[in-house]
Amino acid sequence: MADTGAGDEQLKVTVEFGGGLDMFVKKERLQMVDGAKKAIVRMARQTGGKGTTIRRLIEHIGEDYLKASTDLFCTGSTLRPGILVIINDADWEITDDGMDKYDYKLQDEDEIVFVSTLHGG
Amino acid sequence: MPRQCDICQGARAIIRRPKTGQRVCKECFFRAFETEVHNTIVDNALFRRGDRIGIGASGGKDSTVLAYVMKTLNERYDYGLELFLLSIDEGISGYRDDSLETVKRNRDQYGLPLKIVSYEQLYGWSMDRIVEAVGRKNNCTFCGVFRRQALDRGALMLDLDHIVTGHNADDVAETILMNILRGDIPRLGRCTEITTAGDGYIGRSKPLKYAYEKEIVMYAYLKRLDYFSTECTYSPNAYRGYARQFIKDLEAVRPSAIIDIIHSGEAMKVASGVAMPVATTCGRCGYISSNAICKACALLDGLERGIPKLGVSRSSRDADGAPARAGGAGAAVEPVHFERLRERALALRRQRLGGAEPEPCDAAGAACRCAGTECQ
Repeated sequence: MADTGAGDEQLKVTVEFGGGLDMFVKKERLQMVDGAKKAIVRMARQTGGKGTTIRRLIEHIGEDYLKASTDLFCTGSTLRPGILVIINDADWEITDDGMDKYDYKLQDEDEIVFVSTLHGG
Repeated sequence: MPRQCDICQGARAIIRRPKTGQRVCKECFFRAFETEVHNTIVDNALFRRGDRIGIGASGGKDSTVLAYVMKTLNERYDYGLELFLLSIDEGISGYRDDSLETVKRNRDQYGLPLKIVSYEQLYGWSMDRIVEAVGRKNNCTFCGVFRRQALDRGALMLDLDHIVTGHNADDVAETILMNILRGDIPRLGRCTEITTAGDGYIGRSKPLKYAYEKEIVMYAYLKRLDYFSTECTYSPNAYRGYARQFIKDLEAVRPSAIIDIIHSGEAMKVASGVAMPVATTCGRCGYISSNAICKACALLDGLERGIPKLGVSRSSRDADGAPARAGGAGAAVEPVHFERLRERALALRRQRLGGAEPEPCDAAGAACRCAGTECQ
C-alpha cells in the first residue's frame, strides 16, 4: 500500500491532447512522439482500493500539466463535458454497464487521448 | 474489458453511440455513420443528379468530415454530383490563415477544387481591420452578416446549385435553445429545417443535421482526418457558449437529449399570428433583405463613414451615442451587385452547356466584365 517511488512502482501512460486542448497544456510537458505532441505521464502505482484509475490521471493532469485555466479541462477529477476520452483507440464510454467510466484502471503503456469537441466548426 | 460489437458480433467494440447506446466496432461505426448521412440526404432529397455542390469548408472538424463523407457517398452511391470546396477568408490572422492551409491540404487529399472568397476582396474590409475600427465587442455581428452573403457570392462565382454546411446535431439543438431563450420565433421556425432557401439565391442544407458532434470528432479521429481546431482569436459568442455548455451537460446525463431537442424543435409550429419579416431586395447590392438596405450594406456604410455602430444596434439611441470618427477607414469597395453575379453565373452555365466562352475579364473596377469572379 501507499507505493510511491521509482521503477516498477510507477505507472507510465502516454497522453495526447487533441481538438485544441493542447493549448491549455504547459509546453514543457509535451514532446514529439510518433509525429504527434504527447505527454509521457508517470504516476505512483496505487495497489489498494480501485488501483490507479483514470480519475486519478485527470486530477494529476489538472494539478501538474495545465496552464492557468484548468476548468476548461476539468474541475477536480470531473472532466468538462464535451471532452472525449479515447483509451487505446476506444471510446471510454464503452465500459460495462454499471461501471463508472472514471473507475477505468490504467495499465502500463496505455494510450489516452483527450479530444475537445468544443472548438471551431 | 473488451466486448463485442453489437452489430457484427465479431470485432471489438470501440464506441458507444450516443443516439442509440449501441456499442459498435470501428468498421460498423464508419458504416453506420456514413449510412445515416446517406439516409438524411436521400430521405430529404437534398440533391439532384448533376448538381454542382459547394461544401462550405472552414478546415474545422465538421466541414472536414462533411467533405470526406460527401466525397465517399458520392462515389459509393453514384449521386452524380460535382463537388467543390468553398471557403471564406474573413481575414483573421493567426486563425483563418492557418485553417485555410488545412482546407488547401483537404483540397489535395480529396481531389476537390477549392474556391476561397475573402472579405477583403468582396467588401474591402478584413476582419482584422474591422476589429481595429469597431473593437472586440460587436465584431461577431459583422463577421456573421458578411459570411452569409459571402457564401452566396462564392456560390454564384462557381455557379453552384446548392451549398452544404457542416452544422451538426449539437449545433442545431443549441440554436433551437437559443432562439427559444431569445424569443426569436421566426428563426425558431427556420432553424430546424434541413434545407433553407438560403437567401433567395442558392439553397443550403445540413447533411450532418442528425450527426452528433461526438461521433463527428470520433470519426475524424479514427479516420485520422486532417482538421484544424483553434478558437477564433476574436471574442467568441458568449450566449452561444452558455447554450453549448448546457447542451453538453444535458448530454452527459442523457445522451439522447440532443436528438430529443431537435425533434421537439421540428414538431413546434409557428402560430399564424406571429409576424414574419417580408423579404425584398437591397437597393444597393441586390441581396435579399427585409429593409431597403441589407444588413451587410448598412454595416459597410457605418464602417466607411467611421460610425461602425451604425447598423449594429437595434435602437437608434445606441447608434447616436457612438461618436463619429472623422474620415473612417474608407476602403470603399462597392460590393458587386447580385444581378451581375447572377448574369455571370448564367454565362458560365451556358458555356458549360456548349455555348460561347464568357468574355474574359482583365480589368477590375468599373470596366470589370466578370462580376469580380476572376479579376480580383
